[in-house]
Amino acid sequence: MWIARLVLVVLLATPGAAWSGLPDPPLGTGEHADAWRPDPMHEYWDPATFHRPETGRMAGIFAGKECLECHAVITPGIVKDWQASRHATTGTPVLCPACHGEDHQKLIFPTPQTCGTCHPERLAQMEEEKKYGFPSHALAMERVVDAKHFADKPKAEVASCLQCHSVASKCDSCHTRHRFDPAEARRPEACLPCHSGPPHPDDESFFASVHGQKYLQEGKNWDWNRKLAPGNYPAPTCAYCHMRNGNHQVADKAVWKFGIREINPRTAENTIKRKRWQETCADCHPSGVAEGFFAALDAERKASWNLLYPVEALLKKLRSQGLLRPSARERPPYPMDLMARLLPRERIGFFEGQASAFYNVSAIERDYFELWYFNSLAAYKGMAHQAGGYAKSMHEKMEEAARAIEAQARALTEQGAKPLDLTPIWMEGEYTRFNREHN
Amino acid sequence: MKWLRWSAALLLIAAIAGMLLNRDTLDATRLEMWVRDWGWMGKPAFVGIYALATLLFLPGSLLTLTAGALFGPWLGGLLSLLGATLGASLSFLIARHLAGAWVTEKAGEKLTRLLNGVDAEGWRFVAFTRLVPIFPFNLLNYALGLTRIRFLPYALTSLICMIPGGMAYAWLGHAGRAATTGDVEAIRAGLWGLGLLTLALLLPRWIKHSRKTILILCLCAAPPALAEEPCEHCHAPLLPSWQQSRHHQTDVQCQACHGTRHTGEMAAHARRNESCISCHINENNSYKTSKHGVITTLEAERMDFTLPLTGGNLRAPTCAYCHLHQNAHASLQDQTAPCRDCHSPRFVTTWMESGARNRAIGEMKYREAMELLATLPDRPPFQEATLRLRESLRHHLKNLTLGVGHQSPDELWWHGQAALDGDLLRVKSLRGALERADQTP
Repeated sequence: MWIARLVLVVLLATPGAAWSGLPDPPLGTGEHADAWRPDPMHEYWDPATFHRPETGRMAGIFAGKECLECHAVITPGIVKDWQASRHATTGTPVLCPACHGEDHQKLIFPTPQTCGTCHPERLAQMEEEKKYGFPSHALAMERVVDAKHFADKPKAEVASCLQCHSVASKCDSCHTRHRFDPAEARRPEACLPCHSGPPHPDDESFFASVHGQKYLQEGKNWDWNRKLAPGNYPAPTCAYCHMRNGNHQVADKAVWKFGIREINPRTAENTIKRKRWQETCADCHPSGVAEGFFAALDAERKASWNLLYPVEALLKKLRSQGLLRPSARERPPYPMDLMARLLPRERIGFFEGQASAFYNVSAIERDYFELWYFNSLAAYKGMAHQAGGYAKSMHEKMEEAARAIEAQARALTEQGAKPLDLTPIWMEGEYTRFNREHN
Repeated sequence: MKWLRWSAALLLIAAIAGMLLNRDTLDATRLEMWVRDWGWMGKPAFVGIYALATLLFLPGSLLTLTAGALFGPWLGGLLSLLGATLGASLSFLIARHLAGAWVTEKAGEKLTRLLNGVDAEGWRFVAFTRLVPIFPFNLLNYALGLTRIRFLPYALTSLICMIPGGMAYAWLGHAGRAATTGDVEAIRAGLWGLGLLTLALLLPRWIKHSRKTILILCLCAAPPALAEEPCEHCHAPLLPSWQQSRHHQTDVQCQACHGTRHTGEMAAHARRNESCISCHINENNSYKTSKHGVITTLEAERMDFTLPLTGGNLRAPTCAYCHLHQNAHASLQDQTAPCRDCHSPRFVTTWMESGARNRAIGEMKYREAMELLATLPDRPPFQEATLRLRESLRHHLKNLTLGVGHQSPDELWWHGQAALDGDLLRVKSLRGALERADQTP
């Protein structure tokens, strides 16, 4: 009998042992999940999917007070932060286990769902955002992992993308831990780490506007503990308009959205959205002012697209003449893009999916990409934030860039197509090889 | 006997000069170790060292601070006072016996009248010079020996009038904060008050008696008021750390960060980002666009910069909090120590390793591009484009490094990796253009 038991134990224990310890890092997520593996840092940006609790260092079940005793020594900064937060000063304090769990071997990294147990209204608002599509805080993680260049590039390189796109998977992007202070999240600077840089200079364009200038001069004296409601602030800031009345759904007024394609601002849906803008502006301005802003913005966008389309057409012409070198055959394709392998083709413009043209394209394609993705979007943000001067200077840059691209295209046309083998340049090289081998 | 006096005087001057040249060797830590090693003999030994130091022009304040730290405020103060009085008496007697007669002999009519004026004031003159902190202690001891003030009143007045200053420094040393706070200034202010009080009590009498005395006082006070006390005399413990820093290599002195005004705010002043940014402006964007930087922008006014740079004392890490963690004045041995004041060791390690990989990838782009650029010829248009692209690559790699270090997604990606991608493909396109040009007959 005991032999049968022993056999049974051995049979059960062997696969059991194979399962023990930390599991292998899972494959990626999203559309190209099979094509990439996450960088270890990914677990902190998307904890719900990738976080593995640490085993081995500390074991035990701890109530809140015990956590604080140790962590006041080990990580004093976060304890001081928490002690100054409303979580600590409220009637029944929200102690560590409320968000992290009690078992030190199974610690939880809080997600919006964790915060939503006490703040369900905010979570619901954020979830509701998804119905408006991209761009969106709630869909930001989906956006990044579905991008082909994210799946293609070495994961340590694109870990920086996740730093911002993790706004979908945790609340402390704006409410920094462990203070979680709404007063901090209401300040425009709270948005700035992500809403900065060439394709979305929301910081520069807002600070260049009259609203932004007023904030820079007086903002530090305003009472930021007040709600984002009419009459509470002398000038609007990012959150005042985009999260009016503290609504954590930021997409229901987005008309031109990211700005990477031309849209019709007069559709029924956009008319409804603009009504919401009118209400927001009416907190301070008489009716009619908002309409003036819309007209100016639409005119700016029209002018941008009138400049962009001919350049796009020029590039397509070069492509048809075989003058775009390297051609799509001469450079590494995205590994998971079967169509690109079977029918390689240079993608130009939004509708052909050029949105990923950061690398591995010819200089003229990148120049067009920067004109469209950097300069034009900056002009858009300038006008949308009522920073007319900023928008104007961006349009000057666009003109200059467009002329430079035209000159480059002329030179290429004059030289004409040549039977050259460029693959050694574009397929080889230290980074190029590393990039191909590491997804 | 005359030659004996001369050689004694020369010996003394040589000893003083020697000590002045090597005064860096005396620091509080070393002194503390000596005294501890001597056990119960430490206390009398300390009085002896103090007396000798007084003779040799070494800073008394440093010794008193150390005594306070070693023996406690009361005993430390007492021993210091004994040492100081002993030293002051020795200096006084040495000056009187070596040169006193000579001065009287050689003094002209004017100088004799001056000396007579001082003699008439007697202990009151001594009291005043001891209480006002601008008169240099060590020099004064010798100088007073040259007058005809009697020894006993001199020694007693010195002992009594040095009590407030001595006890205050000893207390400060006991509190152990002299090196990092500006409290020395508070003591100096207190002493000034006492000195002015004495002046108010004695001045009417002096004006009646002798205007010469006031002239002498002014003469005595003028040189030290002009001279700046070097920081390291009191802040010696910080010196070795600073000497290991890159600031030392590039001759960035204390005042560059701490300012020149000893107002009690010197440490706090240097801990604010503003004092770093005036030189490190290129590093500022990467910090300002990080979450740490944002919190500092918003909360700097509410942060207590008088607290030491450790233990999560600031809501967010500032420049100094990480780079001068625990008030170190040199680069950190353990770069992750400041992170761990708030973040778990595992998070810190994961982040650091991921950042290092990120930067290594940037370096690959840089090397790949640089190797291709090296194959381009030194002729237009390649020459000019090569120079421009090299500069651009260096700049963007630097941005990437700063973006990784300061955790700025803007700097790391848009001004780092994405910009390097652009540089690399432009280099490749330039290389392709060369091939086309070579093929053209």
